[in-house]
Amino acid sequence: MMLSVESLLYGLGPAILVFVLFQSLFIAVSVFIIITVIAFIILQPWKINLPHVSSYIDDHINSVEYSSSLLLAHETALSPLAQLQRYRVSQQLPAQIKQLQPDHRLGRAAIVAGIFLIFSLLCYQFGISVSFDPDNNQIEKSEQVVFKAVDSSETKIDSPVLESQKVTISYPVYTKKAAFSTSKMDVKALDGSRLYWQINFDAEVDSVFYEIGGKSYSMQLKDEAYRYSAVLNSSGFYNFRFTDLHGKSYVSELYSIEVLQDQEPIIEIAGLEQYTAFNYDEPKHFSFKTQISDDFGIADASIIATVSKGTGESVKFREEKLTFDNQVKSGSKNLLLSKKIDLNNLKMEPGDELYFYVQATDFKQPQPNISRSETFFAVIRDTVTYDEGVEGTLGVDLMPAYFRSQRQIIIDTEKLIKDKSKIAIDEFNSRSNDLGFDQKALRLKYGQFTGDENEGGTAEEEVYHDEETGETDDPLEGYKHNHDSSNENNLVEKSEEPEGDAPKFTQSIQSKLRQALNEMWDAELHLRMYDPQKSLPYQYRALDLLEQIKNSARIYVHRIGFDPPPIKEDKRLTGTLDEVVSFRKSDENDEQDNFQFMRKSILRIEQILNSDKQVTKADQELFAKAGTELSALAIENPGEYLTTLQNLKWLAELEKTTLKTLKIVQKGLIIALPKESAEPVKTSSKYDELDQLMLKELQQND
Amino acid sequence: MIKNLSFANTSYLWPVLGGAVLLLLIFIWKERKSPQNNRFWLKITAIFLAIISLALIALKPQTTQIAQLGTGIILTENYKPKTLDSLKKLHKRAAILNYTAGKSLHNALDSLSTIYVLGNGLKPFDLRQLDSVSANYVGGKNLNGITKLQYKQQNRVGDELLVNAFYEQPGNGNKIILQGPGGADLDSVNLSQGDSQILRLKSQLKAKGNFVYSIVEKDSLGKVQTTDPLPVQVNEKEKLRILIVNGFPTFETKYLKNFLAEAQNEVTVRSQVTKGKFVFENYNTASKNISALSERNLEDFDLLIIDANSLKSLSKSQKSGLEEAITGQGLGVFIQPDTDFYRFQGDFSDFTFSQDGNEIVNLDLAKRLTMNKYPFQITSQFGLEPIQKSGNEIISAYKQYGLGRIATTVLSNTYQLVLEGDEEQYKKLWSETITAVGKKKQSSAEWEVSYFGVQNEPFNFRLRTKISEPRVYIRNGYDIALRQDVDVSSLWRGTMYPHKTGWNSLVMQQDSTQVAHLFVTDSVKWHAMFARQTIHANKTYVSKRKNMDLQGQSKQPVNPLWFYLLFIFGMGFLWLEPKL
Repeated sequence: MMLSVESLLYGLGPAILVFVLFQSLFIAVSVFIIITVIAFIILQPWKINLPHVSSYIDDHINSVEYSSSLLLAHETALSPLAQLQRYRVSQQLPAQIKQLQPDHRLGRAAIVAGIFLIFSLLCYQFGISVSFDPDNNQIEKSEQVVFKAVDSSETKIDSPVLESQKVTISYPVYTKKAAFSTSKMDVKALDGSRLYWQINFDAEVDSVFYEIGGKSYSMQLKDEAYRYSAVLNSSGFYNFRFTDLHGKSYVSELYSIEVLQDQEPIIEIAGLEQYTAFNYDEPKHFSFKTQISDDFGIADASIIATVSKGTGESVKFREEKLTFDNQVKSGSKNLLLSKKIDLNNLKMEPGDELYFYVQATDFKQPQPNISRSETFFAVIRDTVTYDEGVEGTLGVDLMPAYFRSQRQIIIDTEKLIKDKSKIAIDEFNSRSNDLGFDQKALRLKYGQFTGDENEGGTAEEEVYHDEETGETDDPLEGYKHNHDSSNENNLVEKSEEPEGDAPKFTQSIQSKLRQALNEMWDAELHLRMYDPQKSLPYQYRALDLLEQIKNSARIYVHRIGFDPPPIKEDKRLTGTLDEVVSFRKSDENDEQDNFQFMRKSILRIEQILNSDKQVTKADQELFAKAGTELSALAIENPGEYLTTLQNLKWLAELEKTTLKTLKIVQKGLIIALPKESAEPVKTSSKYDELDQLMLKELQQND
Repeated sequence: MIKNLSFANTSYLWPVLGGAVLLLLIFIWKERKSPQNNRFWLKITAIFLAIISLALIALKPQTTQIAQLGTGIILTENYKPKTLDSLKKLHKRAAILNYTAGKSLHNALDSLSTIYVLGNGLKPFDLRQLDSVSANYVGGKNLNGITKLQYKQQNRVGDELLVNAFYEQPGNGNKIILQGPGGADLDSVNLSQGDSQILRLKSQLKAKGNFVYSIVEKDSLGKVQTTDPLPVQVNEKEKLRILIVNGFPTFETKYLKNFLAEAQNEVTVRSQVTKGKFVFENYNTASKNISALSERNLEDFDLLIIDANSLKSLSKSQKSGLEEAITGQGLGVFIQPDTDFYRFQGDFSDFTFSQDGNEIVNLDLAKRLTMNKYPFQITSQFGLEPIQKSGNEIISAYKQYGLGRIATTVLSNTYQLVLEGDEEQYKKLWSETITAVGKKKQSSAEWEVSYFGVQNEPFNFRLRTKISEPRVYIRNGYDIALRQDVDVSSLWRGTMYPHKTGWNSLVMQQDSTQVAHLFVTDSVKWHAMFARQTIHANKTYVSKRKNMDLQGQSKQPVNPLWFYLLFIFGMGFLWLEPKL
């Protein structure tokens, strides 16, 4: 008995290991039987019989006095002494036999079985299993494509059976992922992947189609397999259809295609404040670390920096692309980069600002994913700032209208310098002189405000009359834009104070204006000497000063609020309405119910279920339309509605349907329909003579 | 004796008595005239007897007698054997009858005067069989299952189907599931041990048509115990025709009109730009010119949304036109309030408001929301129907005016809900309000049909229609005779005996668009609920009978042969007397 258990244990251990390794019950059982039989032969448990046992007892229990065999003999055949001995033995044996252990090595067997068991567990845990399948393409039952005949009529001919199925998914080249095949037909792959389907039949078929989204594509026969390939770009559902040689049509189940998107690189920046400010006397550099990761590898990463100079209207931007200190290893999925930025290297001065962000691209085709980090700022604090202050207390806009013409003179001067090589020297000189004159005219105009003497004013006017055909009274007509004079009425009366003081300017503006006039003097001088190149710096300085004056004048605009003119009450609301017309607007809101066929299908199925009606052609069309609606709904979440969609497809295609299919579809459709939002509706009410009487009474007594 | 005497033809009493007296007088007068005046009194007596017997023949006198017959026990479904035993002890010779629905008990009841009904009782339509005996209802074991059910059978797409059920003796661990057509689990409730439990199940109705939902009870292992059908009719949503009149364009109107137009309602907006100039907007409808409100052009609308100021400044003729449209046609009016409106309302509305100073209110829509309002609330009064309430505070309400309704609200700037992204709440708020106020559809017939019919059992229905002599038939079946109500001429009653389970349709011949759908089950379904109804019917029947007449009494007519003999005797004497 014990020996049998022992041999069984020897057999069991290896058998379990084999089962885990090969996952085949047949092999495991065979191994179990073989090993157990071998163990039986070796241990020979059947050899143990009564004489064998009695000699074993004699060997191990002394008090039996080698007489246990007497117990086996027939009582009557023994001599009286033997009988006495037999009695003695039978008295003592039951008490002592318990101490005796039969000869076996059960423990050893259990240990062996245990070791095998532990091995099996380890193999199972780590998924080690040896498959003896030569091409590793064994299709699991649940994965196998099942075709159903569209035509329900019974035929004697065997329909072709699917022999193998395979879909190969090759990811876009940039992902550097090897193509792989699977027999599972529900595909989940990266956008842009190419899919190759390959299906074989055991018999010849007429044609095979790949159907997706209501479109049908013929599959090509090559090397006895039907093949089709497509590039993945949208999620959806597909199925196969084939026609056998007898013209019978079969459709497969529906399978889902789910498109995964290549993720944008993720950028994390550490060790840096969003805003860093430096004083001009500090060391102006900082460093930071960037961690960039992407699902299929990073193509490039860089820092885009923008330096801004100046403020207000004169702000200038300069953009630069900076590289990281360590090299960007193209193709790696995880990058740790660092950068030290020295503001001096970027030629930044006090008051300048640096904006920068990190940008990374991946390999996605055709358009790579570009992602960028947040923008960081670094600023060198300016030593001087324009404070907003009121330099002057008058509620008058002091800004004369002519200031902008200095800019125009600069533009003209620059143009003249540029044209120098193209034009004759006389012409050059003449134009330079003209500009000098313009400069003078401008200076004189400003001079009026500073109280300069209007020397030679009449002569200029004469010149104007001569040269410019004298068609205008305003000497500045040609040098200013018309809108410049919009604040003419605010100007100081120029004619009334032809000379002397200019009491309406405050000191600082006046001194600035003075400086500007001096610059203008020099500018004019160089222009008159036919050297516009030398004149330019003076012109620029003059412009700069004028800008400053402008800026200080502009402050008034901030400080003075809007003061509307008083409303004349008697004129109010007396405008003519002749031009105001009534108008009509009509709009049809023909928003269709997106799920009308799904709703109709639910009702139709209810009718079919409740009366023993059959699914008609018209119903099938309805179900097909409902299928389109549902797949639009399901595209977000293909897995959830797959069964319903699948059964809906059967309903729309097959001639014979089962009640079960109908129920599954109805159930699925009801659950899939989205929740309706509240809408006002017309309700009905009962209203008869009694109500009429009551209402009348109520009204009379109200 | 005289106490027990009554006449079967009580209504003939006075004419017969009058005739008899007249006849007697004629005979007396004739006798007095006759020359032979001997035996005058004797003759008068004979005449009197003859006339009396004639009168009694006509009046059919009857006497009340106490019947002294046997006692019987009717055993119906679900009776308690213990009760039967104790009854047997009391009435040793009681006859025991087993009840089968629809089978006649008359033969057995003939010899009985007192009956005890044990168990759930006789089906309502069988109770009349007990009319000849004195009946006592004893009852039976407690019911187990859903005994009361309440839900709306007629719904519209998008409505919430709310099922309230009363479950008696729920078992622990069981589960009640509301299943849609096709077996989709929509909602469920766990039962817990106790005497009874109120169940509430709900689900949104999404498709149009007649459907059979079901209430399924599963035990803790998921095994289906019972499945009972729940017929639900889902109708198409009907759209409203809405006119919006505004003194000037507002955001409130802008969002409201967008919402209404997107919900496919026909919306016409007239907003004033300036004196005499308007902007007309038409959505989902042909262009309509509404320069002035009149009864005629308001006919095309179900609802008028008007701001308080425009309503006040309507001309006299427009006001009377509007009033006619409200009371006569059932037009609904929603007044968009402004602050002045709460102080002075103008002609149409007579809401009363009270100032509460609160400018915000918490409203329970699909979720709790805080909304802006005017610092007033609507005061509850007779005839005021609240639409939205916040606690006891009435936020929006309507009042019935003739056929129509006038409504208003204290909410302001509801469009902020849309801006805050709570569009669903906004839709819910306004859907409730507008559905409540809008003109009601009047159909030519109104059916009053209960939830279920039971196969081969009488099914009563009522029909209200103004059509004279309506005729009703079952689709693909027979005609049903209708009985007009004595007092209300527009009310008709009918009884049918459905053969076919599932949906049956009652159609009115004069107007075949008027169809009532009724769902017929077999008697196995909704067992507890039907049992409860039977018990109720039995109890009512018995208590009614107790009040109606004394126990065990029956009226026996006096044999008319006596009166005939008396008459022949009288007449015979009168004939024989001259010959003596």
